[in-house]
Amino acid sequence: MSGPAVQPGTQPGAARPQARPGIARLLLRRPAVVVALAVLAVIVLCAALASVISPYGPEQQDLLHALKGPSASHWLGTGELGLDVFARLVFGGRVTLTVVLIAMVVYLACGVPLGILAGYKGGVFDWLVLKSADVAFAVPSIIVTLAVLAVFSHNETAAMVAFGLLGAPGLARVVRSAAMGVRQELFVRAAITSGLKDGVIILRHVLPRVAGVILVQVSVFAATAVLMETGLGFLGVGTKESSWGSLVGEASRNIGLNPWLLVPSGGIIIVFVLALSTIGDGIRDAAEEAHAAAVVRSPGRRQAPSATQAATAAVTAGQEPTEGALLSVRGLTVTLPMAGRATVTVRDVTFDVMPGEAVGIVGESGCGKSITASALFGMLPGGGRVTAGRVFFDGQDLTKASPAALRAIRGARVGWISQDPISSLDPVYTAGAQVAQVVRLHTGCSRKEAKRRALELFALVRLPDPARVAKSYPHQLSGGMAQRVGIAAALAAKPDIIIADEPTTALDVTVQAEILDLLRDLRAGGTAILLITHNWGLLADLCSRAVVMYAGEVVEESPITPIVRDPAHPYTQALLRSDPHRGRRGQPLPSLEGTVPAPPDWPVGCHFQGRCPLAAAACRTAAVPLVAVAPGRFSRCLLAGQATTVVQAAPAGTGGQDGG
Amino acid sequence: MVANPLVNVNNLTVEYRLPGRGGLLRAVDGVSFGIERGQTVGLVGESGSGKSTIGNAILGLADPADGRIEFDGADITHCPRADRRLLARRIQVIFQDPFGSMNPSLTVGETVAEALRYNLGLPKAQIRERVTQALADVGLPLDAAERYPTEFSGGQRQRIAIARALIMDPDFVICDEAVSALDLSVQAQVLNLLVKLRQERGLAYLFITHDLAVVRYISDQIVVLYAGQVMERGPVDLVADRPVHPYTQALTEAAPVPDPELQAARQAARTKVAPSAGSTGQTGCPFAARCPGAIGRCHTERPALVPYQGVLAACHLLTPDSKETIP
Repeated sequence: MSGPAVQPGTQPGAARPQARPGIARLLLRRPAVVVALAVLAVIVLCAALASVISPYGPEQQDLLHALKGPSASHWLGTGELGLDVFARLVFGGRVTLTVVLIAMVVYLACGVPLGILAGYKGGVFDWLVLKSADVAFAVPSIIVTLAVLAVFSHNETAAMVAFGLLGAPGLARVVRSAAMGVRQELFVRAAITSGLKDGVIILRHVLPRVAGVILVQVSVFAATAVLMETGLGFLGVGTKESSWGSLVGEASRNIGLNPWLLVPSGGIIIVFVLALSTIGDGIRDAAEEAHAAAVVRSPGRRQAPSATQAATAAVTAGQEPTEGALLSVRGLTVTLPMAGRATVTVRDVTFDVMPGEAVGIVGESGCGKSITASALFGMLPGGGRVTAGRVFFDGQDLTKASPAALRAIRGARVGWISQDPISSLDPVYTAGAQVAQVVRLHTGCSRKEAKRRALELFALVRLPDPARVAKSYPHQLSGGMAQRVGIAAALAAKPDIIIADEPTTALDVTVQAEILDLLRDLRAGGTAILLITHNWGLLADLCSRAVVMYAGEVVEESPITPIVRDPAHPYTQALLRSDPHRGRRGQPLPSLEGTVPAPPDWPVGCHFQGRCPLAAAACRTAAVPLVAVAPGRFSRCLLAGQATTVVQAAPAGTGGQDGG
Repeated sequence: MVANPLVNVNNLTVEYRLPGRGGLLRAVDGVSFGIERGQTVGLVGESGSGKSTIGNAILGLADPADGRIEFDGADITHCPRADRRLLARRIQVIFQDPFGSMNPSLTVGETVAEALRYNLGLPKAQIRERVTQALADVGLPLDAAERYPTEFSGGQRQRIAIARALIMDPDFVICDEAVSALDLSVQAQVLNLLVKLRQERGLAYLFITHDLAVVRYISDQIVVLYAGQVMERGPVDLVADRPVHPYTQALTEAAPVPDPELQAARQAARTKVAPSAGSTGQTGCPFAARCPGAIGRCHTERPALVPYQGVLAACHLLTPDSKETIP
């Protein structure tokens, strides 16, 4: 009888997520990296165990078989004096890898502390590090290395120490930028205010965050160091012992007699360098992924099979548009890809906007407000799909419209106002040019006419000094002015409806009041407005109807006055009561425990059941329909009638309306 | 002002060097206020008012150019980092951004325990005990300590931030837009938690926010800032409910209330201020360019903060109760 009475995913303690994958784990998920690591391991092991695996010593001559190709006795052939190539590769690997390791140690030991201190401390030290990096970049390292070798003849250790030293400022520079970024992070400030010493902060917070950058740099540098070592060998100034470099030098001397010699000596270097750079790329990608993995994983419960959901959606989807409505949304259901599967994120949304009417969609974050708005005119993010329901705009079903028709409607009849006014403008064009461009797009008028019209629009949105604003770039405008420019652009085509998605959230409250004045005037001029907001004050100021959304569903729809005074749905009640505007000092705010469940965690039945004080068994069995509770008022609650009594019995805060 | 408040900010001035050719921006300009033990002072202002800078100056994250900050009688204006370690046991902070204020690669337990381990140097068993207690105090599940911040919602992370601040058992907590990023229902949960902890532990809060409704709910005293200067200061029931300064009035009237008829009436009665015109002259009242009642003197002479009907206000349009001026 009763369905699975599972709580929505508000109890993160319920399921133990596995430990987060660290960079190392993410790295090992990449086959190319695993192969590269294996190759490196084999090469290093061979070098380490050279005396065990090689049948010959590196200096063991076989004069009868000098400069021969591969054979059973000499697997990779022989070089000058019949020295075994395989033996020289593995023994030479020791020499080469050792000097490369030395270079790397010097590179890290100088570059990392310098970079981190410069980035973290800043000031004079930072300036010194930057300037010395500039100088080091200007010095050609091959020449310095050769000069060192001129002093310490055939001493590759000295040469590679010099090479590491010369590379270090470059590393310092990269690490510095990364450390500066981390320095600005709030958690570093929090650590400072916790009274942690700089050393602790660097080791705990800064170093781990820049480790990825360092590893990438080191893998590149190691590859360069190997090439440097071989270069020195090729020039004949390197070590006199067997090394990969001296082998290459020998191969090039005998290229006429035995070209084969170049294959093993060149091959090992190519393989080694390729392996290093593959690992470097892998680290970079894995580090990015580790940061991107910062998403809340659901405790693993799957969305309930949506048979019942689809059924109710289908019922309302069949409805016809309301007569005379500008916008009529019927049973709109949207899926978005989440964790690789199409997940219903908005379900069975139905509402109307009459011409010249302002309607507000209100709810907390994650309730599907913005997705609903973008689904109306075919602007869903990638992979999003309208799977059921219809959207009638002026009688035309937009879910059946072609992309071109949709584009035409979007451009000519719908104005968009976004939350972030400054970044929604293109930083390289002046405000005037951008609005004029929109005007031209819609009217096809001359440039001059478009410019004139843009100035008119600027005056219409009450920008002070329109001519000056028209010549300004977005970054020169304040948030309020940029939002006015955004509204001017939205008005360019004389739209029938403006969709305003949190248009004032980023603005100061006095500026918000100005923008509200403007939107109110537009509405009075006959433009319909669909306002998306979490702020009941904005809704009360501007809108005549409210559509309350919770976890992807409309839970209540009503004219504004009755809904704020006598909300029908328990969610609306709780939301309004928790508004500090209505709070009384000294009394706790009536709060709503828990959080909005994410779409994959929606329970069967009422989406609000997990937080609802009234939830009963019936709420958990099947999807709850949106039903009329009064003329023009709808609520998605099986207990809507009883809910009203609960509100009246609620002790605190319901009646308190501050005069302010 | 009381003789010995817990926190005393006196004539605080903080300047920032502007990028480029290095002009100076005065973010905070001669601000004074005090916070008593167990009291909550709300610091209200819009962007650019310098409210967060004041918090940073108290925390030692910004260096004052002038003025004095006292904590429990001691001058901490230019307190060196070494002494800050001791101060961190008494002054803590909760930042706005519940996603940026925790290192994503450390577990919640490690984050909360950080100060105990590295500042107080407590033994492991004791740390574990206190972390468990702190997480329980803020209403987080028992296993939260072993999990990572990314596994928590915004409201829960703010609880973690509160646990991190309170584990040092401070007397004074700066809440820098601590609930601004949260949804209404969650905001109410966190506000209730802050109030409960205040009652249980006798905490003093400096509540920095742009949201007058929140500040009115939680504060005992309110300081209203504009362009780095105090416009009005006084008990919450006066400043929030019967503001006298034109800017405070504009701020109060601008916030829409969730009732259509009330809001329509407020809207009609609202005094319209001119749009913000960027920086104003250095000499007069910073609000003069936007103020509907500004007179000639407002543009030339900076008004002093004077007693007026139970509050302190800096406005030439108000006739002070007495000739006494407050710094």
